[in-house]
Amino acid sequence: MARSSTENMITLMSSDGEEFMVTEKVARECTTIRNMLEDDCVITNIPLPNVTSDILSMVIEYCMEHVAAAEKAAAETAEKGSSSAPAAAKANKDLEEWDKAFMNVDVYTLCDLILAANYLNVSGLLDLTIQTAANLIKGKSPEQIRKTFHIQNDLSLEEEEKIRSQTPWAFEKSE
Amino acid sequence: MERARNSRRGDMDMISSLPDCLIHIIMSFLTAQEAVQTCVLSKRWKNLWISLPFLDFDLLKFKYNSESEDGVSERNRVDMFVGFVSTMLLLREPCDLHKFRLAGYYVSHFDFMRSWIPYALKHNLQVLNIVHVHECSVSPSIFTCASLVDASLGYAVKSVRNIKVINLPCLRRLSLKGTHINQHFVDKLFWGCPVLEFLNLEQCHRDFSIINSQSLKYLNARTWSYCRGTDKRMDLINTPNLLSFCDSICPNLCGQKLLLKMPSLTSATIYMAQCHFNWCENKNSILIGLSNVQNLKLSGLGIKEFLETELSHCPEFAKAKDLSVDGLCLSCHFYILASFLNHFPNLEKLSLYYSGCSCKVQVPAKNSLKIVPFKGKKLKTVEVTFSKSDKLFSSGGEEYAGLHQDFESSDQHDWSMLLDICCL
Repeated sequence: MARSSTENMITLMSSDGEEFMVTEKVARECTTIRNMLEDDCVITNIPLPNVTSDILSMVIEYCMEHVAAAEKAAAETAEKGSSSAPAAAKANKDLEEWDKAFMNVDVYTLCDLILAANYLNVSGLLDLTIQTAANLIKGKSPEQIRKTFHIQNDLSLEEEEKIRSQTPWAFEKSE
Repeated sequence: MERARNSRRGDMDMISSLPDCLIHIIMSFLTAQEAVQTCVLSKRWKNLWISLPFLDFDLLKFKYNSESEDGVSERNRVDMFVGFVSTMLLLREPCDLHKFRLAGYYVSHFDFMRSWIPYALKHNLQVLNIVHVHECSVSPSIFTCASLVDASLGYAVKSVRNIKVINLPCLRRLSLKGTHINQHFVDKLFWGCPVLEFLNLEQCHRDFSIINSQSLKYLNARTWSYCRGTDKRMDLINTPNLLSFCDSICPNLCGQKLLLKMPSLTSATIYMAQCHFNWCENKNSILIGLSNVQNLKLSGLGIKEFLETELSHCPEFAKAKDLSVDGLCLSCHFYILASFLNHFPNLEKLSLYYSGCSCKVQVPAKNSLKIVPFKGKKLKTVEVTFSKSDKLFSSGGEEYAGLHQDFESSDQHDWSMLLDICCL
């Protein structure tokens, strides 16, 4: 990092008016904010009207953890010349475990995080949340999926039967 | 430790309120069948699959409940799969299809399948991934698809003879597996793909000798783990912007010289295949072309023969920081490694993989071989990885002690401080 601006602090303001002070490095994890900073480098206060404070605090938590992990790996590489393979593998595994624990949220929060990750363009978090949501759908019956995501079935029995009869090729039954 | 936030909104159906494009991205992690089946969830989901731009058709993941589990029902399953793909492509909206994957396992319903890939190509396709698809259902028009960015054709194109024209202006990544590639195809490929950066040729039969590309950054040309004698050797690889190079070579290159022109190269992985063709002659200069790398990995059963012949004209790897050697028997041939290491004055990290001694020829007693001391001053880490089943562990470390002594006698460094022993 040639730029000394990495220690600059940025204030992010959530939709409900709460302020979060983060280092520029953490803020830059969000591509949307990075682009803003690159367009106008004196900006220090960024309002984020699409993200609530509880979700923003989680996004920041995610970014901080991933920045810290990357810094730790870089420091080890600088110290030892190159990072040792088992240590790097362990650090990766630790971060994966952290991600997994971080994803232990209710589906409502999960969907909010997907929206926030998409809006702020945090690709790692978007991949993680989308994958988590997909795993909740994979291999489940429609009834299980509805229950997981609290999806109201507004189709009448007849309508559902009609859809199934229109798409018999998609359902697992032998004719 | 579930975070209980927003409990008052906890019963709300949030996923259905996500915009279509985000639901589609969630669906992209599902098979096409799982994606279509969401249509019965609610009215919101009824038609979402119709415009899904990511389709993954995989015969092995296709679910089909049948009463009996004999061969007849398996044929039924294949029929159902072919019917499923055809119907879905027919009924979906004629909107963009960014990603199309087909794992067909050589299903031979050519009449149906012939139209699938052309359909995908016509819908602004960017990522194509086909594997185990019978050649008769693969359209040569793949090679003239203007929107294609990433193509992976695994065991789908055996021969490139039918490919007359290649024009892929956006293609950045190409991966071919199990393809017989000739010089004509290679020439056309680099003319027709001006921005091709990543080329992976896995288990391909090489019938070409020259690669010329300005755009290429990553090249993996590793073919087989043994020398088949029939693969043509490459003569010239001229890739000024190449960063990463992976190749397998026969240590007894058949009398040819391989010229590597890759001045930007930072990382190289060379697999030394074992050669059974004794008529080959030893004349090779591959290391000279790699002398600029920072990161060098050497592996394979032919590594001893390779290093023995290369040492006489080995260049200095002044920029190399990281060296990894796999496949050399450290108990018998440590002296080869020690001489080789002295061509790496700025080495910072050495990784050795030791998979046990299988040397058929008894080497002379250790003391009779001169181990050259290592002079590098920057070495910080030496990592030795053993396999768990290795006798080094069962023999109570006797051999390990010998290896350790080799290290100590080969260096002014205190190797014991550096040794970082790991176990697979």
